[in-house]
Amino acid sequence: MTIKSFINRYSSLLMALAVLVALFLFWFVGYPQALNYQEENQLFLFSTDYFFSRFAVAGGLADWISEFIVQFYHLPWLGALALAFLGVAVQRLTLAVVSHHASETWTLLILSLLPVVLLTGVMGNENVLLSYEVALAMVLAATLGLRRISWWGDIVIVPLLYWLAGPMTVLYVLLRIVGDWRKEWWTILWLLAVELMAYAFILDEYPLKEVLLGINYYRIPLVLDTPGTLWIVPVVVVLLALLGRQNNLMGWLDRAWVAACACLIVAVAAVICIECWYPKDRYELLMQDWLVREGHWQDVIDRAEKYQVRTTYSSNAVNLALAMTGQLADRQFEFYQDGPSALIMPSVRDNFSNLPSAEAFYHLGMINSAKRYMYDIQESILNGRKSGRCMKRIAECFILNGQYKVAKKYLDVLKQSLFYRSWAEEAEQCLYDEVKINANPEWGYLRRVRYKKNYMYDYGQMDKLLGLLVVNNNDNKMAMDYYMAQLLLNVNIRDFMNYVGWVMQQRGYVQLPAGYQDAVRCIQSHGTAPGSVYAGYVKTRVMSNGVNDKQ
Amino acid sequence: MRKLYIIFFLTMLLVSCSDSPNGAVVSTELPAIYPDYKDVTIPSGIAPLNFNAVGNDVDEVYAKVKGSKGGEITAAGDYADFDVDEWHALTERNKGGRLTVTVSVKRGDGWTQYRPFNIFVSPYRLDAWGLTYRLIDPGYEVGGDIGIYQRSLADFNEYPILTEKAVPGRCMNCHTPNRTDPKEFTSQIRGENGGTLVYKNGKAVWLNTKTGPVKSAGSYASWHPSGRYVAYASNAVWQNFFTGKNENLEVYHTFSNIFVLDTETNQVILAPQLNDSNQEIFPAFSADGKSLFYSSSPKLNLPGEYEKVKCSICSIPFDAATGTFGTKVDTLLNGRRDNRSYILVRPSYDGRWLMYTVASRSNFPIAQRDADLWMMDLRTHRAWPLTECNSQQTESYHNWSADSHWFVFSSKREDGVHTRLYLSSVDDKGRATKPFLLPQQNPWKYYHAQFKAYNVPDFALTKVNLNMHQVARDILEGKRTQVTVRK
Repeated sequence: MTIKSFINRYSSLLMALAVLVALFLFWFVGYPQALNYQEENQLFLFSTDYFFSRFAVAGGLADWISEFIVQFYHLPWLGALALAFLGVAVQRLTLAVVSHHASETWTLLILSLLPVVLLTGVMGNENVLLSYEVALAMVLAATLGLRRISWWGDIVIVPLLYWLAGPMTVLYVLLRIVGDWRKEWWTILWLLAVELMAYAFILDEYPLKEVLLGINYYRIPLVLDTPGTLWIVPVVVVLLALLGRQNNLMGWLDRAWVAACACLIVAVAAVICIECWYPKDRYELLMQDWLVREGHWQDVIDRAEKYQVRTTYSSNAVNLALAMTGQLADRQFEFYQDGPSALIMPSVRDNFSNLPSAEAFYHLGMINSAKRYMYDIQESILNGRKSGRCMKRIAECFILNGQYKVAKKYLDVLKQSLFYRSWAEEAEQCLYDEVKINANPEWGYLRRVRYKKNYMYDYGQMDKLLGLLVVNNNDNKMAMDYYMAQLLLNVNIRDFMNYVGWVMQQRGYVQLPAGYQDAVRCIQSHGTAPGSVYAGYVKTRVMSNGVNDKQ
Repeated sequence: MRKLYIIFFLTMLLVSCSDSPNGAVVSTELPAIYPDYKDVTIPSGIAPLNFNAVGNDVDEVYAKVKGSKGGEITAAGDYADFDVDEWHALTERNKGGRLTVTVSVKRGDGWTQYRPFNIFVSPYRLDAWGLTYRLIDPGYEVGGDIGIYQRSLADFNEYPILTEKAVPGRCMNCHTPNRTDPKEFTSQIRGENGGTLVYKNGKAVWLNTKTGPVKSAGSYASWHPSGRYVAYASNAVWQNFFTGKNENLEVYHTFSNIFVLDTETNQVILAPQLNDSNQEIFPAFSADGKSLFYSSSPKLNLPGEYEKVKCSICSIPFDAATGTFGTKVDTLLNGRRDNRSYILVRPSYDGRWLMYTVASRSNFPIAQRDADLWMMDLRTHRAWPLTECNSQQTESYHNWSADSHWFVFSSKREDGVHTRLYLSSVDDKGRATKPFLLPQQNPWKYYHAQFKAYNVPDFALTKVNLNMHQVARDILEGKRTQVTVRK
């Protein structure tokens, strides 16, 4: 068998293999941070209650399957593999649906990649949920598997599919019409009637828009944000099915140059998808989030050395990484500093912005603040899901506070998950056991360095809060670094100069850290020291008129 | 012979399936059960007081309930799950009597039968279909998946009234009926397209109550018994957080005043005594509607002086015929003098009692760990703590049933974080009975997995019939009737 005949014979299989490898590499090498983001915004539980809670709304089965898959994103290679297989399923199903009435031409084979390419593009919007792709696969499978069922079967199939996969069922209806070339338009009206009945009698908590367009395809309720991109893929599938119906074009579609054009279309679509729907800065921040979560501090710094997004979030993440690796005093102003919020961001009501600040609070020993930020982050997940990451941290905070009864509530939920179970079971062993908790290196340390007295939190007085943390325990080296860093960010030169000697002594520095040297040089030269990175920061602050009056 | 085998087989099967506690070891100890229903007093017709035996080693529970006036029911299984109809019949039959509960617990191969305990069936019927409440994740600045719900008291069914899913991104305040009758109620939506809903006689009116001296939408509402007026507090609520491990947050208001809305004219009625620099909050009309109770604290520099917030309970005359306030303000309890804060006054609908919360500080009791329920006899002005109902944790958000013999309140006694609902009854002498936790089908499973807190409960005489889709459309549409200030 020649290579050409081998390729011709196994073209379809080779294509599937290529899709599998490409998608795996795309997610595992290219965008593992996207997997982390999805995983940290849900918590799949192995319980019947959880299953029925998902199943209680239209599209619930797709949602449940989606969350089942997303839990494996905890291990990026496994998540990428799962996504790759799902992508292959979509491609194979598309090809089967499209070429049902036609011979499998090269052009159709290549064009069957288009939905999966666009789908991958659409998922560049991190709020598009995997249930969207699962629903698409379910509907394509239903179209293929139920094609011999008579039209009257749709009286049952349409509502059933609507409940299992959601409004993506419209694709089933359209593909049936296109596929059989029959004018059974009543099925569209039937689907609409089903949706309206569900709205009137079952889904009384959901707005009509969500009942018609999807409750669980998008993290943000559709009444707040309706991305039009969600409908690109179904439209393309229908167009491909229409193309597949054109028997008179089959000869034409078999030509090499047409296949080459199809290749070009797919390639251009792929480039456009990545360029337009995977914004560099956004994905850099998601990467920082992942690295911070995993505690890969040096990787955060290494990436920031090459490229740093100029946002408060990025400053928070990089400064935390610098502190955790003992470099904050030396290198803080080598990196972008977004003003006085560069260490800790004020409370923001979304599920992402405060994550590095919450981590910083935790490592500083500001346990209540860490708990508060994590709590609000979790409650800001707009589809009401819980976060395994947040729940774990909240449980830790309750343990550190000695609130074991509440901690157990959280641990018992985490014990129903796959990837947090073993941690939760270990943590449970520590409940009510002060010796065990204090012997835990992290928990024991945090209990020692946390506030000993009760103060009222005031974000505007962050330097004082950090100062009190130091006063409460001189061993809290990170708090010392943060305190001095906050003084510098506030351009509070008086207090910085007052305390720098004491901090030198407490921290055991043999010589003044490079960052402090630079700051002192800047201060002594009244901001004119050549090459001073701190002088650059002060200049920016003066220009933005944000310097406080303590300088 | 074949028949005998079958009978023998079926008998064995029956015996193995219904493992009865015959031959149980008798213990003199009371059983450890969740919730603690020992010696509580319940109304007849309440949902069954199902319970779980405490402990990881429990294999099976067997409970026998015997009425002092006759009747007996049993439950067996993973937890004591009584039949609803049987329970209702038993409680009806034993109204004014007691139920004796004998609990046996199987651990491993052996049963232990514990000392029986009593559940008292009150002679006072609870005249309510159910409860309304808000479920909200307890804590900080993000409300999360918030919702107002109603729950049947005769069984375990819960129904949403209005949830955040229907109006994403909006926060909703609680549903306040007129003397528990949901034919008249008010509620408030905050956030974009916020407004005050006044529902009367099947008609919903959306109002914008911000006008002139009324600087914010109305909250903490109370209906005048006539159904014509509603008193609201108008305030700005803030939170500050603590760094230590024992306290979570401090809630305070930067301003708080009280106004009364005339629902017939959509006019706001103001009184200078209720709109001064002091903070007036939690208004409540008296049973006869002739006065308005409220809490008041002097102007302070907040949040800095949060520890100095000490509320007094005051009352001011109100004339419903003219819709005017009197001039003389009575101080029933002086917070500054007593170094306490008297908050959230709730007069009983029969005019006999005044229930309120006492805490060491603050005008937002749910955030105060030492908040306790107190009662005052309005005939003698004698006051006492409801020790039967109080715990080391927060007790607050109490409301009376229509006949004023029952009250519901929220308590954080379980874990210090999540508020749960308790019901208790009051006799003619003002004595409260040991409260019972709102029953659930499987209480431990339900409450342990429930991460939301119960907020602002009230009784509902009948089921609330509100078209959530219509309400959501009204909210999103944003059409509001502007109220005016009565000159």
